[in-house]
Amino acid sequence: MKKNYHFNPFAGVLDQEINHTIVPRFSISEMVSYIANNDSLAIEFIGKQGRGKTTHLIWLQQQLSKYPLFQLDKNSNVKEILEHDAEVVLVDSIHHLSFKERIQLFKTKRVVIYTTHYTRKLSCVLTQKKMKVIRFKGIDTKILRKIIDNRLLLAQNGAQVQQVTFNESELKDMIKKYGDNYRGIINKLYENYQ
Amino acid sequence: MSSSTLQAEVFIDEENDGTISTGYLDIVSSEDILMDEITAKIYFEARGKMRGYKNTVISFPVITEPTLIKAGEENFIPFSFEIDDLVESYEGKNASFTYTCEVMMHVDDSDFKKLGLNFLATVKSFVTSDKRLRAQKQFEVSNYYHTYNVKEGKYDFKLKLNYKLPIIIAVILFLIYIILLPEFNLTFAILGVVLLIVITYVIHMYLEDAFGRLVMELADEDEENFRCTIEKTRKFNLEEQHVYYEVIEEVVDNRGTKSSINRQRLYASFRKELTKFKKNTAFTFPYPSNLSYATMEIKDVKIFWRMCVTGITSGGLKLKYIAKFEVKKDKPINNKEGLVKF
Repeated sequence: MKKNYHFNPFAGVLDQEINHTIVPRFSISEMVSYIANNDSLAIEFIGKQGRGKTTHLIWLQQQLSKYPLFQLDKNSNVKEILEHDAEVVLVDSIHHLSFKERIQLFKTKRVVIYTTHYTRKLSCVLTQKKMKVIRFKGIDTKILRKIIDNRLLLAQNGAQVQQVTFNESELKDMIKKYGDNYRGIINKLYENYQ
Repeated sequence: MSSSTLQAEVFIDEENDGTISTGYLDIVSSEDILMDEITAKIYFEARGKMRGYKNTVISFPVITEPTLIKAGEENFIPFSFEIDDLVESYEGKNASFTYTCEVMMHVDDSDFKKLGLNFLATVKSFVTSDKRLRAQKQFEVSNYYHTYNVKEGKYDFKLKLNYKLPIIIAVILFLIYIILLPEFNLTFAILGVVLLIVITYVIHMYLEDAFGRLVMELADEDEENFRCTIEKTRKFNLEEQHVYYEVIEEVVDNRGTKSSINRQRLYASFRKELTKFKKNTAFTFPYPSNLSYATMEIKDVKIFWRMCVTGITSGGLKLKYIAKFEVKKDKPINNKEGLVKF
């Protein structure tokens, strides 16, 4: 089976390939409208690990490339974001900022789009920022099939390869075992293909 | 619509002379086609249970002046490229490293029209958005003629935390808690967790001190074996002592909001019993037959080797001491390096 693919279809994709694999939970025009029509807004991508928050944030930044994306880690601080002159910023892993730094960020930037495991509602209330929440929760076989098909298509090494498909009951079994943890499902499929 | 066809396939020769690799482009066209320019790139890709990574290793021209591709003939266009000191191809449990040679063909504008669209039916080549033709081939970079070489020297062992220890302590603390405080009290629950961490740490430190320092000295014996001499203090006295080494693949998954680590044991040597272990004892271990396990670290992937000494205390607690060490691949014995294949 593997010889039909350039790489394991369920391996982590390159940032530039996200556009080919993602099944978006929102439209870009919807986001553009939120950004354009609000003077002070926080857009929260909230959900557990492996649900696609970061993937959606990277994809959103690729579509709206004039807005910078900051992918934070434990060594990050708010300074680098505040020093950037963009009034709309995308921030991955906002939990790496302290409460004080988050307040500073929300006060300084007009629109902050961020990923988080837990809601940052308090920071929004204190800075009088309007809040739009996008929940990364739930799964169905239709979306899962589309994600899997997109990955198989991206990795296959020739147009003449017969596309592998998963039937409804296989998809339901995966959902039964991993729930809405897409990454859990993708990782399991990775092991099967490796 | 034209019924013209064009097929292009890349071939990489299986062996090279040290650093220079060779290959050729095989083009068959139904029409005479003038190629204005042909360039190639070698890509390195790392993929797995982690963020994908791709970079260009080298770019080079395949032809330097316009070249005619004669209709109905196999046109072989040779090329060569220099690859030196590359990370080897790797197919692990949680990550893979691959190399791809991508050849871009710029067909002369006047001839491009001749091709029509039917040639898209070829599997391995297709048209890019800027009307260039692309053919690519994955190949392997492996130093099959190399041998392992352990980094000689002395290494300190460290006691690994036995996860049964905090579980036992937690059970004891929980029993004390429900005997003394039948109703739930958050303050005492938090205090219990703090106590658990402190007691585990103290016992771990005590065990480390009680059994003293454990050191090993490594040296290469021959191409297939290495020697490990373990030195201990008088305090180190465990039952059922064994020594072995293992090769671990570690992949850090940075794809999401929170990182996670996937560890997989790639190889474990057979266990040797540490009998009559007074002050020091020496063992010979064979290297694994798989040659892809040399110590390395690239992007989010790491392969490391570690020596393990296990034993049981008189109280029945299993202890594991580990010492990481470095193993490289030695220089080739002959001039055949960088075997590439697909």
